[in-house]
Amino acid sequence: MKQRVPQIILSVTAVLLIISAFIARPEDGNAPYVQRMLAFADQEFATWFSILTVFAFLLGGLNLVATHLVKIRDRGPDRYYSLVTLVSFVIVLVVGMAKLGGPPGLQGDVTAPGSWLSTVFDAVLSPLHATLYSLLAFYIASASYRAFRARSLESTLLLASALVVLLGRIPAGRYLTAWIPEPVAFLRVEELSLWILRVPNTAGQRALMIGIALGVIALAVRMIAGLEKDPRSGGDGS
Amino acid sequence: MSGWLAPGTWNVALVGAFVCALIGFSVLRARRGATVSVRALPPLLALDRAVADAVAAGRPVYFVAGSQDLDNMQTVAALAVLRPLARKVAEAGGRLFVPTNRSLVMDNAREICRLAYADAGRADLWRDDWVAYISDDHLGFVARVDGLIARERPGLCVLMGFFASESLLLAEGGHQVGAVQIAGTASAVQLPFLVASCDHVLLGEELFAAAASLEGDAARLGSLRGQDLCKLAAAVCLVAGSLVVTVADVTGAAPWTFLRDAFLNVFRAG
Amino acid sequence: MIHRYDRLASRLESLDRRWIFLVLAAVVVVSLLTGVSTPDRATSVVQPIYDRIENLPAGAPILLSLDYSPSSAPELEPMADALTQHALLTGHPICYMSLYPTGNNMISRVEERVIAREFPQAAPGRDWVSLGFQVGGEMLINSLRDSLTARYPTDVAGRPLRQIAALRGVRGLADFGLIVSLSAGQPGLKEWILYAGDVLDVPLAGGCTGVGAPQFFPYYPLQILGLMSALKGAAEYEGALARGHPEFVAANQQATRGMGPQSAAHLVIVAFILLGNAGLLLRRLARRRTP
Repeated sequence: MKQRVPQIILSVTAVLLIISAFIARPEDGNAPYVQRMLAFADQEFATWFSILTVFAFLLGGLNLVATHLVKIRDRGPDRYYSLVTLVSFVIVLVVGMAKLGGPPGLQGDVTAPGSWLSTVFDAVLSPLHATLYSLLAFYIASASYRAFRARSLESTLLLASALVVLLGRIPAGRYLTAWIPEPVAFLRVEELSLWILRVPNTAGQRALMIGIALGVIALAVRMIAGLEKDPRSGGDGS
Repeated sequence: MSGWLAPGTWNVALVGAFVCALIGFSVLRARRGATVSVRALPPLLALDRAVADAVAAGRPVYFVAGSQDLDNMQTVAALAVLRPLARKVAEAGGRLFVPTNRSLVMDNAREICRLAYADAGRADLWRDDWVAYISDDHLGFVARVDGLIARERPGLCVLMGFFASESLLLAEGGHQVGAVQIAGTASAVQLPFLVASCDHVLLGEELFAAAASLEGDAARLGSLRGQDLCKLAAAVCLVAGSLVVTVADVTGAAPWTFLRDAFLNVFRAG
Repeated sequence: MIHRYDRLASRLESLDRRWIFLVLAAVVVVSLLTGVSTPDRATSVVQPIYDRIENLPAGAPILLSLDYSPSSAPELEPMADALTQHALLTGHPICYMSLYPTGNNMISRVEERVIAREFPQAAPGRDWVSLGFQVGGEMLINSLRDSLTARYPTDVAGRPLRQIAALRGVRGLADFGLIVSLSAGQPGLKEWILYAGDVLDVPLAGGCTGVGAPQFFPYYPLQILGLMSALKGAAEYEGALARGHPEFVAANQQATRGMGPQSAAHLVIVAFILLGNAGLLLRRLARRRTP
């Protein structure tokens, strides 16, 4: 029973949502009841989903607090990180919930310019995000250096494509091949770069997308039909 | 009935129904005993050795189930891989850390690992805080996980599921501490980064085949066969469609133009 | 001699990555300080977005979904700025929304940086409106198809949508003249294509990070009319805007300015890739000469 009820909810909801995606939205209240019900499902499930998501945030927040409180209590080696995490968590939570510095009331925009949360966002979160994301440039550089080696025909093709795209995406690349005459302008590096992205890349992406989409559909069919083994169930896996 | 169908969706419904029917039929056949063989996936073959080496070196194993919630099929596929992995780690007597960035994923992952350790007879070894919620924010998540990897120096990092920019940040973190890295994602744009930084990678749809390859139950194997049949059908349609459109455009003859229009109607985008 | 080649080859092939980091950082900082940049011209993938806005019927509203967080703002924010400038210059009201939790702040930043500074005469509610972030991703888009008020009864300032002049005549997504998603990942442009562009008869365009670009080219030009990818895409749009509206050339051209450091970084990466391959070549030569 404990497993059957969630499975029934999953199957019914999924089938309703799939069917409703193909059903025309009724123009007026005279449409058949089933059609109106399906349109309702299509429209309202999103709202229910939003409400449920809030509870998921709550679960995550509670776990975060519990985990770090335990670490501080046990005086583990990471307890100072845990303390910083908890203090930051409480500050942002209080600042946001109390809508400090911003328009008050339920309708007040919690992120309005001038609000404390907006300041936390601009002064703390934004630079932290930018810093972490900018690390990508360094990691991409070192990963490219390691990966792009002309060891075989395939890897040489990959290397050549990478160089063309890298140069084609910057103005310097454009100047590098600007001397190529107009009748054969397609040989200019920016044109070659665009061609690589639009033709071979698109072909590869489409092939990948077809395979991935089929994988997703197959998993969904198994889940809806209740044939996907619940990984949380015990047993030997057979 | 035509008033019921949303405009412009009949072709998607038709192709979708065909795909679902073919997959459903293959699953049924497999459940009735038809044999389906699946080729071994090299990244999964490397898993046993990597787990054994990590545990022998006294280093933990890290598993990241992507950066999306349970409504993403890649996360579901990743969790299906977690179960056999957790069992392997438990049998070897190792520690498995699963940092998550969605609370529902944490809840599921914790239950999966606890049961896998119990199945392997090592319930005594398992600790619930090995599966932890870090942050919904993907960069906050990466910062914490990279920090943990740098301090704990895992011997094996398994990155499965949907990844965005965090893929390279995580993979380079593991690379830096010399961990064996096995990844799998159906996020096509992240594949190049994982291929560059990891030792073994499940490419695209292989992620969805991983659980079938590891545990091999009839429904999963059957649906794999269904996927292959659908791909075959897609390839036939691609070749036939290209020929029909080319011939119709060159000759302009009526039967070909009719066929061309039919093809373009069924496979039109949007 | 052969040993020397071998040593040099192995050095070139296995440089400590900290050297790469150091050189990259130095080159980017220098090029940021010198501020060298060159204007770009729009390619055939970016130009259709510009043309679409130019040719929209007078007063047709544009929906701009800022689906990114501060991390990818350096790549996507210049696009939001340029699109905002273009829309306000041509008299099209803009409706901002976001599928990302940090979206409200990203919208506020565009309002402060572009609208408040460069269009002081523009009025909220008449020339632009911010609906802000709502949770749901693709389900949110799906429920906005027929009616914006289904999930956004008011804008972020609490004004009922019915009273907002910028949205006069807009019931659902199909009533916008153009929808643009500036997308850092998921949910983003792909969800807009699947749940809005493909289902409704509404023109859709996008902007994405450099990493995400290959994923979206298969949708161009049938499912999206144009695509701005990364800073280069934004710089191309700024180039088109500068040519079409020369009175605006001096204004906020952050993408064009950013292309200088980006060019330098690309050249450094190319140089290191060539260095690694030079090592490989040297090793092969050394082995060939080994008796």
